[in-house]
Amino acid sequence: MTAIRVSQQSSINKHKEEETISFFWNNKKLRARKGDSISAALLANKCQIIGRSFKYHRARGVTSAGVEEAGALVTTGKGAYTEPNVRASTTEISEGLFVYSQNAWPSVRFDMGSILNLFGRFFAAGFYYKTFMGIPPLEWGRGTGIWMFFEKFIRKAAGLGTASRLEDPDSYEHLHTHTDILVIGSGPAGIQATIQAAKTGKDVLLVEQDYAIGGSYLSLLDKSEFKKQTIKLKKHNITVLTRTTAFGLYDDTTVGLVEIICPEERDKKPRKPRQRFHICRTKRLILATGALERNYAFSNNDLPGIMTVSSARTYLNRFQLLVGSNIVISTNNDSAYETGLELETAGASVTILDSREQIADLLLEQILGKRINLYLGSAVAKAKHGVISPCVKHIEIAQKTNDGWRQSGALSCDCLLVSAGWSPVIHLASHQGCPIEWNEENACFISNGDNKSIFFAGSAAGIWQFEDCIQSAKEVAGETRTKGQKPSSIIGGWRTAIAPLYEIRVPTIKGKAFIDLQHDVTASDVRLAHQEGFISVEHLKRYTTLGMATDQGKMGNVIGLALMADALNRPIGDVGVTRFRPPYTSISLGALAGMHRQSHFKPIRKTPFNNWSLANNGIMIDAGLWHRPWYYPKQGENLQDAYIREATITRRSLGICDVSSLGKIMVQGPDSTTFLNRIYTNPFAKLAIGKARYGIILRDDGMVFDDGTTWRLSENSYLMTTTTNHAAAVMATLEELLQTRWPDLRVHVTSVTEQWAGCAIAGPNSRSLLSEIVDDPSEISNETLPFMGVRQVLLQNIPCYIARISFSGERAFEVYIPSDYSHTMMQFIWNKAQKFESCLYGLEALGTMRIEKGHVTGAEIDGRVTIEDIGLGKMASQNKDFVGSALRKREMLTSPNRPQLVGIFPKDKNKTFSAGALLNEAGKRKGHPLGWITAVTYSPALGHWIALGFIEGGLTAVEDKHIVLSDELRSNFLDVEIVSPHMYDPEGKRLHG
Amino acid sequence: MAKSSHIERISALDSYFTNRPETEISTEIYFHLIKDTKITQIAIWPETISEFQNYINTQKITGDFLHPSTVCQIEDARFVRVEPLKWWLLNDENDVFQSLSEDIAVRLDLSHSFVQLKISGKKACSILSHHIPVDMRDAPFPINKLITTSLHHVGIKLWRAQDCWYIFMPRSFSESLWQLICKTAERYGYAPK
Repeated sequence: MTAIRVSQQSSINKHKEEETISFFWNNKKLRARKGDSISAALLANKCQIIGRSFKYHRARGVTSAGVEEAGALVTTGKGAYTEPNVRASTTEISEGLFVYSQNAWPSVRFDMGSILNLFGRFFAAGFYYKTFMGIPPLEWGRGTGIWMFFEKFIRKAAGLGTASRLEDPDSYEHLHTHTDILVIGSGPAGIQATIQAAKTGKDVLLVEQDYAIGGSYLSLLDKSEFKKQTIKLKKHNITVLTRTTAFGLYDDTTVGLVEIICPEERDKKPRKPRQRFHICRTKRLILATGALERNYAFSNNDLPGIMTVSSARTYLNRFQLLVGSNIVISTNNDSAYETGLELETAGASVTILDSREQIADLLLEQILGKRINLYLGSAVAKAKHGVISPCVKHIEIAQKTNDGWRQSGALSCDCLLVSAGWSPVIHLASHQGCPIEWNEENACFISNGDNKSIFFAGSAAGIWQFEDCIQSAKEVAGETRTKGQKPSSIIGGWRTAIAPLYEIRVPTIKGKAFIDLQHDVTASDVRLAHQEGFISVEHLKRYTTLGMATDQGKMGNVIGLALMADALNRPIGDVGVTRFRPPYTSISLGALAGMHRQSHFKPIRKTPFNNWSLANNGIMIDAGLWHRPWYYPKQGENLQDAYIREATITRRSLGICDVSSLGKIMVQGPDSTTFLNRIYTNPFAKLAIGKARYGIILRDDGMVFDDGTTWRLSENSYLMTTTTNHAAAVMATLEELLQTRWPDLRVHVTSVTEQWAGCAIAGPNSRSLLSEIVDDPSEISNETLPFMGVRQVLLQNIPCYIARISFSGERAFEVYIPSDYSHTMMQFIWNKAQKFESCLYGLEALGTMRIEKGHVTGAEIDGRVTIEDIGLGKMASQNKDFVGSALRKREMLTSPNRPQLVGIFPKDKNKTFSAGALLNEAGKRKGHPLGWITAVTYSPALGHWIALGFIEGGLTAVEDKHIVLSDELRSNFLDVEIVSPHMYDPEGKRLHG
Repeated sequence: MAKSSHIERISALDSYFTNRPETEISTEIYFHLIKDTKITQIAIWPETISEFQNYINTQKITGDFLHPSTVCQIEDARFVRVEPLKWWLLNDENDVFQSLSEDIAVRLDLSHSFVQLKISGKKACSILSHHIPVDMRDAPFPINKLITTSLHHVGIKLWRAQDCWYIFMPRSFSESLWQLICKTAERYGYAPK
């Protein structure tokens, strides 16, 4: 096939004819016309071998002019801008674009990998499964050893393009788009539907995956009708998106669109994203997605120079490229004849092989007197390449007989065009599970959408005649066709009925006959799948990989199903079709991520003290979505130095910690007390106003859910605090209980986590500091604010809450300040704290002090522990019901052998250990462990490393046992002592001081 | 308890708007940080709705306050039903619900919970559409409608006013969300100082 530029066929692109640009093909500089696709540019430059096939490394050329392209896959760009597996047929060439062939070494013309083609018989379907299950008898039943060895070689040999490992330098964005009517496809039916819909006054959005609107209009020689329609389109206020693929249809007619921003536009406005992901919600969806022309299976049907008939027409009339001078067309339907005529008019010698034995007189009259040879009842049995060139040079003809096909002659050609029927593009409807039916008469699958909000128009509905396509578009867009009504237009419309054609098999002819060019799946593979029992379409797909490549079987699926139906001796409709899945064509992950990457990968929560902490040398750590102060290093300190200093100063004098991230829920209403009494395991009915109480919440299954303190602020209002991790889950649970289980309770719950900034002031001097900062110091004396007391006080005339509660084990207070005042107030508090030996402490020191005290957090309350397991069984009231009170009494949850919370000391106090290590009895390191470590720290108070963990039966069960800690990952094994989890000040003297 | 203080409220986004209360760089988009937002939540009980209605009817109110998402005017404040049994009272200076009995409704101050951002200009809606999934066209989202929606998976309130949009972002998320909005606005020519 040697394509040549021909004189301008129509005036539509005349203005572009003189505009030429340069691009690089495998680093060689070439010229192209502006507006060319990569395929057109390569064909115009006599580049016929574009790539190498997936498995056999066979030479592949341009096979189409659309999204069904299976051969001309290329890599564009360089370095970080590399984009593999780009369809050359649908990508516009741009100035300076680098285009590379892929899956070939050292070059696409001479590829060493093509040696695999010689061993093709060994690589049939299921090759990997069978070969690498293990070499019998050495690996029988064990498998994978040899696979692991060969995998890297196979992966290197097979495949498509290679993605860049560099960070994507481009930007992407999301856009939520809403419209009344979305029309997908801008061919004749799509444009007609858009104009018709716009007349109803509704918002209409037209999307087109090509870089130009027009669809099949662009392939016509006479574009006068297209021009008229374009003018009409512009008169209406219609949004038109080109370069936009509708890749998926989701619930409630939500359509995923990916818009590629024109490179030229981005050159002018560098801030523009490379791609935009539209989440489009529409009330009515019109699928004018057209139909894809199929090929059929015959020997060597993948040679460069073989393409679909319609693509040759597109190259001729859109890109002014005549794809050959001696062209053979093989068809089974009427559509190829018009193309044959146009090719002949453009100067080519044309031969048509029609598998039908009779055709309509009208078609015969059309070709009468033209340089077109017609062979009826004929098809291609085999394509042959030249002696040196791998491109098609000859074909062997098959003649229809009563019981099949026989070899009947040969023809030379430089281009073979194939048309074995049309497959309406029904993928999007399939995504939503719309019914899909095999239409025997037209040899294709057809869908009517859902007949509520998803409609088909044009050839996407299986309508072949232009006028009928236009009529169907008017019906669906003008809403003359209502819900549930079937189209009045004629489906089909061939002048001579199509003759199903899926494969030509002639016994005397050998060679690979491909059905899925991208994944090198052959007709023999389908028959092999059938022989081996993989007859379901789902099994066929997975066994042969048919339809799994980037083209998702757009051409090959129907052929594969037809061959399987033939093997099963059943109609194609009975074999079924796999449900298409998004995306319709490949889309970049960058577009799906949009701006949500790097620092915006997830939303970040910052406490009201965040900026103040940063200004005071705070180092932050992610805790869920929160940024929390981790530690506050002095000059030269590392993490360990800092947290040891912070914990030491806090226990010795005074420390201040940001605890704003704790969940805070306001519980209001006359039934609040009853509500809390049902939520918590311990009684809340008699909690006095101005007092706080520590509580445990269980899940319905009896496991511990969360813990925290709840403060009674007035007769009918409480402030509940939760752990940082479970704040949202607790809030959701409370809402659910009120709405579904106890709707009779007059209680409102509202999250006030954002409303209040919280800081813990801990240490022996905490009350002294508070005396300095509250407007009335008498309010925080031991009598007015005893342990677990709560008061509203004024700080700098701002109403705040102070609760005397402690997580550190020291005398401590939590001060809650309205968030917008927190920055100023913290500076005020910190200034006052300078009178004392004081420090700011972060999450690490907080963790150290809580481990010393044996206080539990999410590390221990991991969803698998009961209230008894964490040593708080006495908090479970026997006198009332509460959430989880029934199921917590299950036998397995009350077993005395359950792992229980303990403290752990290394026997050699110089040793360290890590969280996650296991606890075993000496000499029994293997098997199920006795326990595990949940949290470790160096304890400044005790002078050595300590840990919290769980061990079967708890402290009393292992008192006389020799326990060893084993950390297999770090090869750390040491003797440990199991102690009470309350490792520091177990009597709580400091707490109550 | 006395509530007058010389301490100024500092919004979570203050540092971004310091000396720039009305950003003017682009004619297409304006951002304005509303400081000292006052939000009071009024929550009633299913059986007290008629009493609540009677109480409201004694006030100067324009608009259907029972209609979900419709922002009404009550005295100088704005009033909107945000949940079936909850209303928000915005910028109430006259304490219009001071005499409302706790038997009918409970009140809660949420003024510090949210950061209120005003977005105006020709591109305001376009910028918001990058992140907010709701249909902001005139018919489905008329002036004086306030809804709860999401922005980067964070629950926010969106209010369409006469010639601008307001978003109420949870305070802790506001900086992260603002940076995202700002980054989007830059693509429309907005140039933060």
